[in-house]
Amino acid sequence: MAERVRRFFRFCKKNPSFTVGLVIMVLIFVLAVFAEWIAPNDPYLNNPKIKLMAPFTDAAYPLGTDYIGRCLLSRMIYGIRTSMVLCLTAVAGALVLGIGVGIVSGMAYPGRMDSVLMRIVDVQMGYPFIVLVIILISLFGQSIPSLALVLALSFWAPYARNIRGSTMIQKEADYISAAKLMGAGNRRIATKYLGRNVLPGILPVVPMDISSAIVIESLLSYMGLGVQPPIISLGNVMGDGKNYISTNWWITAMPGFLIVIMAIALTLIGDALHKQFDPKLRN
Amino acid sequence: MKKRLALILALALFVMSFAGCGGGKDSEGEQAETGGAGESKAGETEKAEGTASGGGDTLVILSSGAFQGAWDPTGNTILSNKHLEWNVFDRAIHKDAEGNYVPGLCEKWEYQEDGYTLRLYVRRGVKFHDGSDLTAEDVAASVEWTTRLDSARVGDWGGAFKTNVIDDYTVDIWPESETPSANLVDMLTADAILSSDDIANGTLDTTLNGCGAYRFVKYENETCYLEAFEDYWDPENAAKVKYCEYKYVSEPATRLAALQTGDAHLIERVDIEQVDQIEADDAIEYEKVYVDEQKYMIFKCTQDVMQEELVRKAISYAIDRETIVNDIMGGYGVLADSYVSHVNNMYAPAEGIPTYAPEKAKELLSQAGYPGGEGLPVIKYITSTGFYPKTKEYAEYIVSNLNDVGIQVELVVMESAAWEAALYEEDSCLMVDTGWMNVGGDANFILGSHYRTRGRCNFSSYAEVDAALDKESAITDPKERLACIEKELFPLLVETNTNMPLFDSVQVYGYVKNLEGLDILPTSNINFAKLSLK
Amino acid sequence: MLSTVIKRLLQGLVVIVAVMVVTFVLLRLIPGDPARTMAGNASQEVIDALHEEMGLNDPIPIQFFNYVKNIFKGDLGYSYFCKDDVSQVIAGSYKATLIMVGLALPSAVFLGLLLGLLAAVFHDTVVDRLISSVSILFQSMPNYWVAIMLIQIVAVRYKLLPASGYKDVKSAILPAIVLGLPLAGVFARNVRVNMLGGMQQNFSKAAKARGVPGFKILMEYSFRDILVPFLTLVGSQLGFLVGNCLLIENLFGYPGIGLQTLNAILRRDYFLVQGLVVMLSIIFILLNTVIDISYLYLDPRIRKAQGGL
Repeated sequence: MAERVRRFFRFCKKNPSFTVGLVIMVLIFVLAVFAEWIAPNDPYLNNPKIKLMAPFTDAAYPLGTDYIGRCLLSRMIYGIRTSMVLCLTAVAGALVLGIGVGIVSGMAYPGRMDSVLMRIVDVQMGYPFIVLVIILISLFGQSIPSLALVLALSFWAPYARNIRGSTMIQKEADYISAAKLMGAGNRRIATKYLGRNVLPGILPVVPMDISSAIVIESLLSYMGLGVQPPIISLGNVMGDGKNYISTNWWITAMPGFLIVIMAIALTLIGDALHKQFDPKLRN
Repeated sequence: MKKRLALILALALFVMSFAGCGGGKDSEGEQAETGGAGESKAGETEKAEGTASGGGDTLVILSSGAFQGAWDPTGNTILSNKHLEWNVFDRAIHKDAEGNYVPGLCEKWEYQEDGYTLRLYVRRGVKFHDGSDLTAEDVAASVEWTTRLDSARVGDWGGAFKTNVIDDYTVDIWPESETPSANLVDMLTADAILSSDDIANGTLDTTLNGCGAYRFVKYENETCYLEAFEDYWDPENAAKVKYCEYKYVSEPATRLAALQTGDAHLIERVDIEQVDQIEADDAIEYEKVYVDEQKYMIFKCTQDVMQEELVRKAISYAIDRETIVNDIMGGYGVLADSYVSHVNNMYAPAEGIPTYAPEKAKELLSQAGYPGGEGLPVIKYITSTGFYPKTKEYAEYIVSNLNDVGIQVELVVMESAAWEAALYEEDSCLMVDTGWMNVGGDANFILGSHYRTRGRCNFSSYAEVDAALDKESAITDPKERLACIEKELFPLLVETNTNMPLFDSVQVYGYVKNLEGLDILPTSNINFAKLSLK
Repeated sequence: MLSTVIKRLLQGLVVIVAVMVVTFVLLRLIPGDPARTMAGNASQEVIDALHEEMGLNDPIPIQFFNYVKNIFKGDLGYSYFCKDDVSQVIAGSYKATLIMVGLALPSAVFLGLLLGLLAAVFHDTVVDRLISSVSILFQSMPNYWVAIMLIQIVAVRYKLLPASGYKDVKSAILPAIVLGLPLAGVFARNVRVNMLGGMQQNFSKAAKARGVPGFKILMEYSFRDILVPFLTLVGSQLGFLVGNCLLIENLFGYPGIGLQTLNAILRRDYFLVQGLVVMLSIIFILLNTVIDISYLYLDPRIRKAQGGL
C-alpha cells in the first residue's frame, strides 16, 4: 500500500500537469460534496427585487444573481453535483457499451457479428442527435436517469467505432500473434491485451466528452428538455442565462468558465494517464 | 514514396468528398480558410443577386412565430398566420383609429327589421389577386365557410350563419339560431373575405387568394414573400413598398441582430432585456404595445383536487402576481384585474378577483380540509419555454409562492409542441400556463372558448356560466352587453375561478428609424401596406 | 473491391430501413399533435377533421404501409407546415447547409491536422501546451455562446458579415466558424495523440537510428498511424455535426436542413421529419462507406486482414 502511494506521488511529481488537473478536480468534487457548507446562500431562495445583479458588486452575492435574484455562485456549486452525477454516469455507461461493442466487433471482423453490431452503431450515429433526444426524452421523461440514458446513447457509438478500428489494427500486431501462439483465447486477448492497447485511443476523448455532456445538457435545458427545476445542474444554470447573454452575460459565462476549467483539468488528467498507460508512449 | 503519395491522394479525395458535394463549392471554402473572418470575394460578387436589404423596395419583417397554420384562414388560430392574413386578405368592414366601424369591402351594412339579419352592400370593382371580381356570392360563401362546424373561427361567431344573396352586390346574413348576435359586426371586421371559387374548389389550402393590399407570392424556408397588389381597390391605402418578406426567426437575439445589421426593418417580440440594447443603438427604435393578450394559469377543473373551487382559489391567492409583473417581467405586463385584457372591447374590472394574499390562501386551504397543504397531492404544473416571454422564470417563482403556503408542486417545462398538446388535454396535469392573443378582437373569443361548458383548456362546466354567456352574446348594444358581462358573468367567473388571469401582455417591437407608418393594433396585427422606408 | 462496396451499400439499406421504422413508430408515440400545432386553439371538431385529412386516424401499421407504398411512387409525403411536398422542401434547403458544412469541415480538418501536427512535433513544449489549451477551449465553449458573441461582435458592432438568414456565401461564414471550431479542437487533439503514439513506435525509432531526417519520419512513418483513427473520428463526428447544425442554423436563422429538421420535429411534421432523418442517414452511410473503404487503402494491416482487395 505504502509502495503504491509512493508510486502515485512519484507519478505526480513527474507529471506536474496531471497534478494541477487532479487538484482542480478534487477541489471541484469537494465543492460538490460539501455544497451545503460552502455555498454562501440558499440556491433556491429567490428575491426578484435584486434580480440580475452583476458579479463582484455585492459581497453577499459574489458572482451576482440570476433572473429572479438567486445567488449565482450558490447555484453553480449545487449545480456541479447534479452535473457530475449525470455526466459521469452517462459517459461511464457510454464507455462500457462502446468498449464492449467495439472490441467484440473488432475481434469478429470480418464477420456477421461485426456487421450486425456496426449496423446498430450506424443507426445510432446516423440518427440526428436532437431528433433522437427529443423523441427519447418525450418518451422517458425528464428525470436524471432518463437524461443520463439519452446522453450515454449519444456518446457510445463513436467509442465503439474507434475501439473497433484500433482493435482491428491491434489484433494483427505482433504481440497479439505471439499471445495467440502461446495459446491465449479470444477472451483473454480481448481483456488482457486489447483492453490495454486500444483504450488509449479513446482515453483523451473521455474527459472532453464529459465536458461535452455538460454542454449538451445545458443545450437540452434551454430547449426545455433538460433537468427540470427545482433540480439545479450546471447546464441548467447556464441554459437559464441564454436569453440574457447579450445583456447579463455572467449568468451564462460564469458556469461556462467553470465548465471550461473542468474540461481543461479533465484533459490534463487524461493526457497524463494516456502517457502512462500507452505502451507505445512508455519509454 | 509511392505509399506517401497514395496517402496524400486518399486524404485529398476524402476531403473533397465532403466539400465537393456542393459542386465546386470548395474553392469558396479555401477562401474562407485564408480570409478567416474577413471579407470573402465570392460573397461580394454574389451580393447583387440577393434581395436588397435596406433598399427601398423590399420590407423585411421578422415574425416571432412560425407560419404553421393552414393557409385556409378558417383552419387555424395561429397568430403569425393571422398577421399574414391581415395583409393578404381584406375584410367586409374596417375599423378606424378610434375604433369606429368604417366601410371596407362592404360599403354599407344595416340590420333588418327582425333584429338579427344583417344586410351587406358589397363594394363594386374590387378584385381578388387571381383577377376575379368580388361579388355578394363571395361574401356569402365566406361567412358560411367561416362559421361551419369544423371551422377554427366558428367559436368567436357564436355558431353557424345563414346567407341569402339578393343580387350581385347585396347579401343578407343571419345566425342560424335566429337570435341577435352581439359581435356580428366585429366579426366582419376580423375575418377574411375569401373567394367563393376557392371555397368550392377546395383550393384554400394551397394558396392565399385575397383582396388585400399585398399579394402572396410564395412561401419558402419559413418566409412569406409578398408583392404589392396593383389592383387594390383603395389606392390611398395601397402598399407603399413593392416587396415584403415576412420571415419566421425563432431566436429573439437573432431577430435583434438582424435589425441592428439592417437585415430586417421590423421585428416582433423583443425581449425586455434587449430594450437597453435598442436604446443604445442610434439606428433603431422600439415601441411598447399593450396587446389584447392575457396570460393565465389554467386549472384542469375535472382532475383530482382541482375539482374543488377552494383549492383553485387558494392557489390563486398564493401567487404573487405583483412581483411577477413588476420585477420578473420588468414592468412589461399589466396586472390582470379582469377575465379579458385591459384593451379588450368588453373590458371591465372583475370585482373580487383574487390578489396576492398568502394568509387567505392558507385559510382557504384549511377550509378545504388541507391545513398547511397537508393531504394535497403534488400539483403537476406544466409550462412552456421558447414562445411566451419568461414563462419559465415566473413559473419557478410561482412554485416558490405555492411552497410558501404548503403546496407541493412538480414543475414541468416543455418545448412548445408537447406543451400545446398538454394544454388541450384534459388529464395532462393539474395546472398549465398559457396566454391567448385575442385574434378576433371580440371578448367572446376568450370568454366563449374558456368558460363555456367543457372549457377548451380547463374543461370546466357550469350551467350558470353558460347561461350568462348566452345572455351577453345576444345583446347587440355594446354598453348593455358590457354591463351584463360585468354584473352577471364576471362575478360567476370569480366565484368558480377556473382560470386565474395573471397579467396582460405588453409586447415590444423593434424597428429601424427610417421606417414610417407603423401602427400596431391591439390584436397585434400590423397593416404592412402603410409601412414605408424613408 | 466492388463486392465490398456493394456489400457495404446493402448493409446501408438495412440501416436505412431500420431508421425509417424507428422514426415512424417513435414519432407517433411521443406527445404532441401536428393537427393541434396547425390549428391552434381551435375546437376538437377542427382537430378531428385534420386528423382525418392527414391520415392519422389509421392504425400505425396501415399508416406505415401507405407511407412505404407512396415512397415507391416517388412520393415522400406532404408537409402540412411547409405547404409543399417533402422532397421539394428538402430540395429547397439542402444547399445552404451544404455550403456551411463545405466551409466548416475542410477548414476544421485542415486546422485540426495543422495544430495537431505542430503540437506533436513540439510536444511537451510551450507550443504544445498552448495548442492543447486552445483546442480544449474550442471544444468546451458552449456553441450558442460563441454564436451570439460572434453575431454581436462581427456582425452587429463591426458589420463585417451578415448576422442571420442566407443571401450568399458570406452568410455562411459565421455559422461555419461556430460549427468548425469545436471540430478543429477535437481533430487537433486526436491527431496529436495518435501522432505521438506513432512517433514513439519502433519502426519510427529504427528509421531515426538509420539517420532518416525527423520530418521525413513524420511524413512517412507517423502520419499513416494517425490516419485510421483520424478517419474514424471524422466519421464519428458526423452525427454531432448534424446535431450542431440544428442548433447553429437556428441561432443564425440560417435556412438549411438543420433548421428545417428542428422546426419539423418541434411541430411534429411527421412526414418531413421522416424524410429528413432518412436523408441524413443515407448521407451518413455513404460517407462512412467511403471512410471504411479508405481504411483498406490506408492501412496495409487491415488490407491483409481482408485477404487483399
